[in-house]
Parts: sequence; structure tokens; C-alpha cells
Amino acid sequence: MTTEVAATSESAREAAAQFTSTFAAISREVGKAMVGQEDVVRGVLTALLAGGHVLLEGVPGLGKTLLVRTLGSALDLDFSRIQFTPDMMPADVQGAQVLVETEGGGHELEFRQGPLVANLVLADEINRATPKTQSALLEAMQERQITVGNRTIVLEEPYCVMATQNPVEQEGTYPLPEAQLDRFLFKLIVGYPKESEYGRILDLTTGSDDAQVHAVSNAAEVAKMRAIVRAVPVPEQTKTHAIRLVMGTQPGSDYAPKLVNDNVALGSSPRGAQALLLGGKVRALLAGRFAVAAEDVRACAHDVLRHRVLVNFHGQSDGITPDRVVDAVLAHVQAPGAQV
Amino acid sequence: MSTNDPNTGSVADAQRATNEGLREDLHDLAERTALDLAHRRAVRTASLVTSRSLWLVLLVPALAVVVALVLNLLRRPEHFWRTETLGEYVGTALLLSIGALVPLAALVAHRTWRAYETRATRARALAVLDRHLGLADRLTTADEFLGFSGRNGFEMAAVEDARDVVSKARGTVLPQVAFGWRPRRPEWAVLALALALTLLAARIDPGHRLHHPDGQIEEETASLGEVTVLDTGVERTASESDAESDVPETPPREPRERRTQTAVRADAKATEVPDQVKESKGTTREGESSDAQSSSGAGSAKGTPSNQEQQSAGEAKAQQTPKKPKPTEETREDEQQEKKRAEEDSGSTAGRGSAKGSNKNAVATPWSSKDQVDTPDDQQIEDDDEFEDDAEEQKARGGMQPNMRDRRPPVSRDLSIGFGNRPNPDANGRGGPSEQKKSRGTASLVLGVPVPDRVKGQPNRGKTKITQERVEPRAEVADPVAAGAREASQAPLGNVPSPQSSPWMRDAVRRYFVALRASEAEVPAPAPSSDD
Repeated sequence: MTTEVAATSESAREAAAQFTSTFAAISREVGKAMVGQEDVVRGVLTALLAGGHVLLEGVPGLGKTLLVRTLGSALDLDFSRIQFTPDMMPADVQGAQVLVETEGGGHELEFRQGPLVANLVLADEINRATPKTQSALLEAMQERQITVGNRTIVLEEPYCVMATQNPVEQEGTYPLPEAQLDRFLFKLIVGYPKESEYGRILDLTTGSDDAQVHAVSNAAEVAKMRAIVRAVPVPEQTKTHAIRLVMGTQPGSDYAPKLVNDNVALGSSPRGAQALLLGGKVRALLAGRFAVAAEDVRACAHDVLRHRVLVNFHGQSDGITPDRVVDAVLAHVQAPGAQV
Repeated sequence: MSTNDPNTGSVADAQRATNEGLREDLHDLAERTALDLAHRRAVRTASLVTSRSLWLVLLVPALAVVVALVLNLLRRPEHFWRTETLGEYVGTALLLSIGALVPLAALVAHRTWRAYETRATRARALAVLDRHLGLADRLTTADEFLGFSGRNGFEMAAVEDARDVVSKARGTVLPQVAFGWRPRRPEWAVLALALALTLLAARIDPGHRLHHPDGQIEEETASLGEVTVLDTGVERTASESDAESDVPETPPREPRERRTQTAVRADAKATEVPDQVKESKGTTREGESSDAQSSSGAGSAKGTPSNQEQQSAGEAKAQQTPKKPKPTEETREDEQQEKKRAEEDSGSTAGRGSAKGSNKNAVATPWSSKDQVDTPDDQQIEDDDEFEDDAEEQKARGGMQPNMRDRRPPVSRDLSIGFGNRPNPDANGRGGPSEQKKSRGTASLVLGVPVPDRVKGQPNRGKTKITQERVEPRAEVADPVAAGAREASQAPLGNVPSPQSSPWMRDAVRRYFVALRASEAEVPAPAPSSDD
């Protein structure tokens, strides 16, 4: 696929231009229903086209669910929504075998697939489910398959889980385990809209006109865009820089600043470096370049690393946030050629 | 596409040639940028090393001072410089100043040269140029991809991207940095200290020649005290400067034997003009301290009125108590001078012939005895003596018995009359006429048990009284905060700590409420009011 997309420089330029135009079209279509939040829309699309999953965090009422629903409509992908509750079981997510009556009056076990079997899965308020149910997503997110009993179902590409959680209301919730957090490519923070955006939000939600979102892409095109992303080369020094950024979050490493050594219990895994490069590739294409630069990697650092850094008790008592840790790492690990 | 196509082959050749040209361009850019970086690094290193190693300017002057002092002690003037004339002094100071800069200059030059010699790698030089021009690593990426044998489409596109920006990079020169060291306050202090040491080292002249009046030349070494006085000039008084300026030429120094004889005569004259003795302090010559001169004056006061010794004592006292306020000292000295004159007129001959030169009369008049104890120091000394007597007395007893010195006789309970001055022969010490009791109290009843009933300086600590009162809470006035428009949150909200997710918070809240309930349980319930 990669060879077909970019055998020559002309084909590479053509593929990059197509990628950029499709990306812009999807963003524009989503923007019809989702007012503002350009960075969040761009981050969600980047994660989708990089082949990862995304975790959206924000207080209620900011349009997290609306964003994912609109994206499903714009991409014409099979979309499912799971409202996580404390009494939800893994079978409710993955599917289960149920006893059905046959035509002859007999009974047999039939597998009924759960909402996980889709292209775009919205896991709403994922932290309200118990860890047992949350664990049901691990295999789907990493292996793109689910196993129920002796049955294994391969999920259809493109497959993307978009989960939301509320950082404030923590009563009756269960924090996501580290293994599951690490499987999210990005963790995006959804903030309040700007004052200028409130008017259009009110018009869209309180008037009689509904935003009509049309499909501007499909699953095949998304798969092709994913292939283009994978074809973008990464120079050696950019790769080295991404590795050093990830190692900078690990306490005790050679690139960790003092803030990390003092306040971080757990740093990023190698998945963090993978996510940095994948996000950097999408960003390089959108910037009209054909190779990943260090600034692309650094631009993705917060979204990639903030949920992979676990602040220890000392850091929590000092009010150290993961974003502050990432800032310290970025300041400590300079880009190549930054120090003249 | 077939490689046998002549058009394809020519395009490939042209592309290969273009890539070679790009590779050479990148090489030139890297070389030039590496040179610029080396120059910048050298300048920064020079500034940094100058700032950090400035103390090296102290090395040579300090060494020169030490050498001068050692040679001074060894009396080896032939191995030292001469500063008899102003020209020699200035020349020596200049030479030492230049020498002081040599170690620092050598170190800075060495480090700077090493920094200049260390060249940046090609990749780093191109990365610096990328960062400086905002090229998003295009030059570095192209330089790396040019080394690949089989490039894919994206890599070739990246190389072509770099070809467009090379011309822009070719005309770019990195901004040069200037030598950035500016002396700060501590560094100015180091330079001033180096200058002072240089001048001091140049001023020490063990080879200074002394000319006798009869033409004899004697070599003398300068004492450190004289050098300090000459350099700083702090201890010079105006009268000394005037006295020296009045002298047309340097008075010839005398040999020590002759100076001793003349000193005796001069001290004898000092009895007539006592102020000269005071003025002569600080102008003592080499090898003779001011104390020695003062003592020689006291020794020569034998057989003279004790007025001279009085002056010496007054000076000694002034030296011992330099912190006293000056006006009080002067008025006191004036009063003492008047008293001394009065004493000399009346009975100062009583002190004549005293070896110690005391001005105290054998029969002190009331005002003179007041004068003797008037000073607070004497009073302090007496108080201390009394205290020490008490302490020593108790110490001598080993703390075994109480101090009975200030005990008073018991109250007389002699109810009888008619004995007159005679004691009652039937007295038994109990409620009747008796002798003065020897002791009283528990200590006298228990034999051998040491019970000191008075320990000086160790009073009882007393009791600590704690008063608690119930205070009703009072309301305070607070300004209401006006609501305002709020911008959209730009920064991420981050983790909001949750009591559920933080066990330590739950523990802290639990401990707080347990402690609160425990304290409430201890407080007695208020009595029910009559209304209830």
C-alpha cells in the first residue's frame, strides 16, 4: 500500500495533498455541529487517522458526545455508543451467548455481539464502569478483536474507541487502570467555549434548524489516509528526540529533570514514543512537509504524555499536574539545534 | 517504468547531479555554520572563564607580598626590587600589575582556543541552521535522506523540499555574540584587592637605605606596621602630617644606642609637656612598639612629680575603654587635670619619689576619695569582688552549710527588767532572757545535713498559671467579590483530586472528625436552662 501511495515524489505530494484536503473536509463537516473546539476536533481526527484511540476529558455539557457522534456521521462509519454504568458487565459490552428458540421448537445458544463491534465506539463516562468491565476493552483496543468464550471476533478497520470522562464528579467512579490509559493514543482536554462561540451554540441548540452533517468520507478512505500517515518518514534525530522525551518522563533516567525524579511515580511506556511519532506524522502532513520534524513531536507531547505520567504522593501534595511534568520535560530535553 | 528508457535515464542522471549539488551545498552550509558556532562558543567561553577565574589576578600580587615579607625576614635585600624613587615604585607596580594578569590571560586563552577547536558535527550545524531559520528540520532531514540508496517518494519529496530552502540558508549568517563579561560588584572587589596587593607588594622595600648624619649607611627592614600606616593612611593624624610637612627634609635616623639616650632625655622633657607623649604614639620607629616607648617613659618618671605617671595611666585607661563616649571622656579628663593641678599645688609632693608614680595621697581628702571610687569600672570591680567573696565562701564550705554571715540575732524575748546591761544568768534560750542564738532553722537541728537556705542567683521558678476563657466568635466584615466575565479555559483542567481516589484524604478527614467528636465528648454538656 505504501509503495502504491508514494513510489515517487510526485505521488507522495499527491497523497499528501489528498490527505490534507480530506482532513480539512472532515473538520469542516464536524464544525457544522460542533462549534469551536478546533484543537479538540483536530486531535480526535489525528488520533483516528494515526490509528489510535482517544480519551476526552472535560466537565459535562461541553459537547464531547456530540463531537464523536458527528464524527461518525461525517465519516460514514459504523457508530455505537456505550453508556457505562456501575452495574454493567463485560458481556454487556462484548456480547454474549443467549438461549434462543429455534423453528422446530428447540433451543440453542446464539451469540449476540455487543456494542464494541463497530468502527467508531463512544465509551461515554467510561470511568463509571467497574474495572472488570473496563478490562473488556483492553483486548479490543490493542488487538482489534474480542474473545467471548471460544469465539474470537476480529473487529473491522478502521476501529477507534473514543472515551469520555468527567474529571470533577468522582462519586461512584473507578479510575482507569494504567494499562487501559496507556492504550489511548491521546488524552484531550475539552475546555469551555469562547464567548464568541456561545451565540452560535445557542442558535444551533435552541432553534428549529438542526445542523445537517453529511458524510464526506468513508471507511476505505480513512484506511487509505492511515496508510499515508504510516508512509511519512522519520529522520533519525527526530526519532532520537522522541525517545528522549519519553525517557524524560521516567524517573531516574538520564533525561529526566529534577521535577520528574521528585514527583513522578511512573513514566511513559514505549507506547508513548510510538504515539509521539504517529501524531507527529499527521502533523507534518498537515503542515505540508514530507518528514517528521522535532517540532511536530514536541507539539503532540502534552496530548500523548499527560495520561501516561503518574504523579506520586509527593507531587500530588505539591499540586504537580501531569501537564506541568510534561512542560518540565520539554524544557529539559531541548530540540536538536535549539542550544546554539 | 523501464530503466532502459533514454528519457528516464537522462532524468535520473539530472536528478543525481542535482542531488550531488545539494549535498555539496549542505556541506558548505554545515562547514560555515560550524565555524560560526565555534566562534560563538569561543567568545562565550572567554566570558565565562574570565568571570569564574578572576580570582587568578590575586595570585601574583599575593605571591609578591609573601616573597617580599620572607625576604624581609631573611634580610636579603639584594634579591628584591628597589622603590627608592617614584619612578622605581611606579615601574615596580606596573610590572606587578602586568604579572597579575598573566595567569588569567593564559587560562582564558587556553580555554578559548580549545572551545574554538571543538567543531560541531555536520548534523548539529545543520540543525542549528534549521532552528535559526525556522525550516522545521528540512536541511537535516535532506542531508540524512541523501545518504539513503533507495529513497521512497516521501523521502525524495523531503529532499526536494530542502533544495528550495538551501538558497535561503546560503545567505544567512548566525548572529555573532560579543564578549559579554562585565565586572559585577564582587568582581570589582577582587580587582580592587588585586590592585591593593600590587601596590603593597611594590611598596615593601627591604633595601631601603638609611642615611646617618655622619654619612654612615644602615640598612633597616621595614616593619609591617609601618607599611600598613604608609599604605592606608588611616591612622595618620592631621598633626602628624603637619609635623612631617614642616620638616624640610627627612630627619636622619640615629643608631639605636643614641636613640635610647635621647629617648631618656625626651621622656624627661615629657614631664613638662605631657601632650607630646600622647602625640608621639603612632610615630614610633621600626622595631619599637608604642607600648615599649610608653613604658620607657614611665620608668624615667622616677624622682619626678607623679604627674607624668598620671598622664600615662590616663592614656592607658583611654586605651582600655575606647567605646566610651568621647565628650564624657574629655570633660572627665579636664576635671582630672584641674584636680591634679590642685593636688600638685597642695600635696602632690607626697607622691614624689614613688616608683609607681601614683597620684593618690596618703591622706585622701573627701573629694579625692570620691574621685577614687567615682569611675563606674571601679564600682563594677567592687561589686564583682563582693559577689565573688560570697561565692567563694560558699564554695569553700563546699555547699555543706548555709551562709550565716548576714544572719541577725534573734529577737530578744527578755521580759524581765532590772538586769541592766548584764545578761540574765537563768536564761535558757527559750522565751526568756538568753544569749544570742548561734543558729536557727532545720539546718541547725539536723546535724551534718547540708541544707543551704540561700542560693544566690537561683531564684525559684514560681508557678505557671494558665487562665482559659471562653470567647464568643465575632463576625468580620468581608467585601463581596463582584462577578465578572470569564474567558474560556485555555489550560487543561487536569486531574481534580477526588476523596474516593485519594485514600490519604479520606484518612485525614476521618481523623479530623474523630478528634472533633472526642473533644466534644470531653466538654461537659451545658446545664439545662430553667426555660426547658
